Amino acid sequence: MGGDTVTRLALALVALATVCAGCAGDTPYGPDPGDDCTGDRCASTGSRAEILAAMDGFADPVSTYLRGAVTESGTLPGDYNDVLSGIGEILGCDASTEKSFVVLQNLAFIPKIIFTRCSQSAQLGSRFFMAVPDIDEAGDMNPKLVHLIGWDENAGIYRRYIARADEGGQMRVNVSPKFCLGCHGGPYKLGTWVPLMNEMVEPWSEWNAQPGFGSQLFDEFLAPETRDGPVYRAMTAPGRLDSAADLEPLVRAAMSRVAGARAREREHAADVHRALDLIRPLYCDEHVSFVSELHRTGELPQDAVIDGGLPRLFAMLGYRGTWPWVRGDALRLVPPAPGAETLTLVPVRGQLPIEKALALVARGALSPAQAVRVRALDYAHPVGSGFRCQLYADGRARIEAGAIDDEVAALPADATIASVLPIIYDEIMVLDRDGVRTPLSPPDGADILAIADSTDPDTVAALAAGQISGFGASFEELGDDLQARVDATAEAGFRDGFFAVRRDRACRVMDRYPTAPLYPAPMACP
Amino acid sequence: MFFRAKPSPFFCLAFAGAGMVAVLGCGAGDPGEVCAEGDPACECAGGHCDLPDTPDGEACTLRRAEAYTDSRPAYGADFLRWSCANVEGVTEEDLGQEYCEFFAIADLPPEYAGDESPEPAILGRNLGPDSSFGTTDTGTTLSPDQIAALEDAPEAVIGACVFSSWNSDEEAPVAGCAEGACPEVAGVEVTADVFRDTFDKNSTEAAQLLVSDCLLTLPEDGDPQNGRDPLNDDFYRGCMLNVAINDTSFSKADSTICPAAMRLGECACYVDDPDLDFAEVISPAGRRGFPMGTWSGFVLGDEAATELPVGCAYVALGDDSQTVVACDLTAGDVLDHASDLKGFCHDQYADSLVIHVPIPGDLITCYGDEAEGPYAASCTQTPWVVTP
Repeated sequence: MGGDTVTRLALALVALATVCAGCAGDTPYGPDPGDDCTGDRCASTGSRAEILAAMDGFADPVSTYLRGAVTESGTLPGDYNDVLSGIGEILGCDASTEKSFVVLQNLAFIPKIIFTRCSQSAQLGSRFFMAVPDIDEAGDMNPKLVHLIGWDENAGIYRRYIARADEGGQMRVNVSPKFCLGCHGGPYKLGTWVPLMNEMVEPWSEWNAQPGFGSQLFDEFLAPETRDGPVYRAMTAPGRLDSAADLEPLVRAAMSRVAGARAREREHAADVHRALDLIRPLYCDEHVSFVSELHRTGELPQDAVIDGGLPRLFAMLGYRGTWPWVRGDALRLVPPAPGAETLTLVPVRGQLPIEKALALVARGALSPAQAVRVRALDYAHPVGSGFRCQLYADGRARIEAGAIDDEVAALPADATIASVLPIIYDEIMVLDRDGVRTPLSPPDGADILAIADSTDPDTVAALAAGQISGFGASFEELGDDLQARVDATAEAGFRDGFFAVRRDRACRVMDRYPTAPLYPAPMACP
Repeated sequence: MFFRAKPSPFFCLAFAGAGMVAVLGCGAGDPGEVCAEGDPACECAGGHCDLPDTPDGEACTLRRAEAYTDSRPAYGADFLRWSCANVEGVTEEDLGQEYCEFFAIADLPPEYAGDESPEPAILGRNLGPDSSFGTTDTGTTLSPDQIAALEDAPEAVIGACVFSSWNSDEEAPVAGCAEGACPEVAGVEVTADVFRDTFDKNSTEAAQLLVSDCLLTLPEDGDPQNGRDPLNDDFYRGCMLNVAINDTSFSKADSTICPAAMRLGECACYVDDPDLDFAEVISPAGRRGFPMGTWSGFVLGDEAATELPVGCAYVALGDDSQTVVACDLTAGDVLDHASDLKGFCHDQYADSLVIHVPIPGDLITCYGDEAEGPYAASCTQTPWVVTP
């Protein structure tokens, strides 16, 4: 083991202590009762018969492949290449459609290599993902540890698997390992694997962006012993290695699969708990995303200051073209001075929660106005709003204590979750202070309650007193204010001030989300 | 001195500072109406213009930053390039400023289950020689039955985002159409009426005029004693020259081509073929339009070998012109973005679709040592590669 590798492993320990978990390692919450994995070493691997039984009813391409490939002793022949080849056959996509993508993990910047097949089609390519997440003692990639994900059309979820070399060098298979959910289930412990890509827009910091784009925070943090390792080089050979730009549409398609399938739950029989889960992404950050300044240009995605879901909601309300921010244009900050730090990895509202929430709106389960009314609460905090999420948590607690039982009971027998959503929405949109209820409804003549900063002392006082009419505003007034906030980002002092905003958000995110990236410089969290 | 046709209300101003007065097309009145300088009808209606009002110098600074983004420079020895994405502030009917117009096609299920399917909807397609002619509806409203049908197979490709650099004045035929067998995209026949650009500015003639004007017009020089004068920067000076000639600082295309052409003039460059001039070399008449690719893997004249963004493919026009690209539009996309599918196409694909202007360097000779003027000393053998 080289000195650099030792250093990186030491860094990994620091990282673990700092962010609780890296996605290559343990679950973020320690041992999960009933879980039988330590990191991605799971004890539940078994014989072929046990594996087949564990996959009973699965209809994803990985399970199809495993049914044909797994040996009687529950192992797979060869290494990652054999797995890719076998699943490629199932998908009908040969090696010419294969691409690899590399991201640095939040565990000492160890690279994770993502493989796809059918890569020229977002729809076909998003049915299967394979990750090679680990390095060996020499620092090269471990070709016999793979994480596999396959879309099960029938179930509307992604299935998850691990294949990992045992002491004899054979890859043993584990079906539905729970450890994956530590990261991909997020802090709300979603019960299924969901696709995540920390940074969904250029410059995809900590991803390889070549060819076609310049990487940012990738080349400088990729360990030389890994970069020069024969396995890494084979995995990232020219023609195989691709830019994060080409993974992004596949991940978006995967998110669309998940959001669409989740939205269809509204058609199920009325169920308050499932309805509460369904509406949660409108209030809380089930996951977060990150944006970065495009190299040293001063160009920064506007999600940094505006809720990334609001442009589409305002477009639905008919305000397309009214303000530049509805177009989603990038912010134009004053570029950094020579030698000054670039503004990277700013936490923003997660792309997947946005898609989940907007899927409900697009399908008519909620109106655009209802969604804007939620997002206008504490809108200066597009991500990490304790106010919005506490509103949800309080409402959920009241609902689970029976607050809407009578209304739900009065629904017709064939009522669906969609029928429950408006009732839940109305109950959540109430400030309840020791039993004193203040509905967060806009006053007459207003469209919304536009509460910019729920932590502002005057706002806190007004809300505590139940005085909300002063927050009444029209959609136009909110739109104007959001444009003013965008315009202010071009001012000279914005950049310096926004580093503090990034720090505050990053500190909260690192404390809560196991997928939070490692920052190049310490965050000095309180 | 030459002047290009101008397409929108933004241009209804006199360029007094440049000593020019232009009579220009305007978008505030009837489609195609020409209005005179100072006509209040030419002002932006209700304060909402579809073009940015960024001051020109500031806009050129922005264009410069885009042109020199580390990962995707605008200038190379054998190309000029920019993406189909319109710059900040270009919205609504003005979208399509980059020699690249685009629209969505959605082959929707019937409004009521059991009815016949409607004709494919063509959404956001430009309707005339300038923005005043408007576009078809950019989105659609889905009925409950349509939502249900789309949800049943959300990953199904039911339409396309079409990007076209087929110049509005090029008549090249589409393979198969003469025999009554035009290719189709999402159920829509590929004909010039639908797939060719419509804006006058997206034409071979406009590109040639741009090259000629920027080559032959003297730019305003910077102060040689002031190293911080932005006009001493080749890109900025060329961009401001384009402002003086065309006032299109909101166009990456014009702001990229003009500095290159200006440098050809400043550096005493000539086309080796006496039958050609630079306008014809850069934008040949008879070529369907500037070819499209993405930021890497571009092979001129070879659609099969050229890479495109994920989900995109060339529409086979029969001439390997690389000028029409169709990108997947799924049922899920339509569900989630029904109110503005044109906007979805822009956001999803436009920044990854790249217009490439081939520069045949072997046809160009520059005599930098014979060049005159304050910027002759910096001339290279490839001065069209405008360096920061």
